Amino acid sequence: MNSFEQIIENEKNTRYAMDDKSNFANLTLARMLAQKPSVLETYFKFALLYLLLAVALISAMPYFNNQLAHLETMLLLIPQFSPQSLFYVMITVLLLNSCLGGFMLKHKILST
Amino acid sequence: MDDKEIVRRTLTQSRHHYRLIIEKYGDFLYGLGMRLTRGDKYLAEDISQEAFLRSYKYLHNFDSSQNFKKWLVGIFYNSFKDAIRKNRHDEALDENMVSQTTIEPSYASFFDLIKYLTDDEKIVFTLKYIYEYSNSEISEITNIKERQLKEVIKNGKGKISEQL
Repeated sequence: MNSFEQIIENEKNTRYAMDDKSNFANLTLARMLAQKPSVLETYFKFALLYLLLAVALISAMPYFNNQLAHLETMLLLIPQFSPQSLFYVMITVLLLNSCLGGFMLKHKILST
Repeated sequence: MDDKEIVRRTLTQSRHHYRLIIEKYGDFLYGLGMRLTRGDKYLAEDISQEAFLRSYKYLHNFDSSQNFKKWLVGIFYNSFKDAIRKNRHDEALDENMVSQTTIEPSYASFFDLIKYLTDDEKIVFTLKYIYEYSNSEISEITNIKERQLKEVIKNGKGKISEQL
């Protein structure tokens, strides 16, 4: 039986090489380029973006209310909705949009 | 071109620059994989590939003041542990794979030596005695505290002494 030092020395002198390094590099690179962002990561990015938008909208609410009130009276297009309910409709639309964006990113229809 | 420059170009110019890293360290990681898997060349190749994919994924987290090779070995360590955990689900398949793909018995001595070591003991032992990393470097790579590391080395050497 070889001694510990001998075995270690022999192993240190052993060189391992892949059968086809170029093919390995090509395959790895191809898999690397095909990597998609994780679903969770994508949805998180969008959720964060829209959260920021929502915060911005809430901050602008007083101005927003006034503008909508003017629109209501001027155009009479949306008399049945209060500015608050319109705001909730907008947030819902934005959230749906974020889900759609996430879906598009996941399936590479959109890219980051 | 040094590693840091390749990393910089990969992040700022094109992902294709990373090919240079794969070509440079492909055999190194494969060799480490061969030793840790005791000669399973397919598994060694899979783990190396996984390590490259993960390293690319987390490349933006790489601190350029660090040594890239050491950082890559750290990622390889995690890929190795995950691959082994996954492979243990099917011991029978694993046995078949080893018998079909292990290399010639001329290399068997080292593989026999580490046969009864745990995964942590195997990697610590290999990094220390074959690649001559210091304890502090191994601790950095594996996130095992130095005190605990000494225990791992002692246990590993104990098991090896019993075989010799």
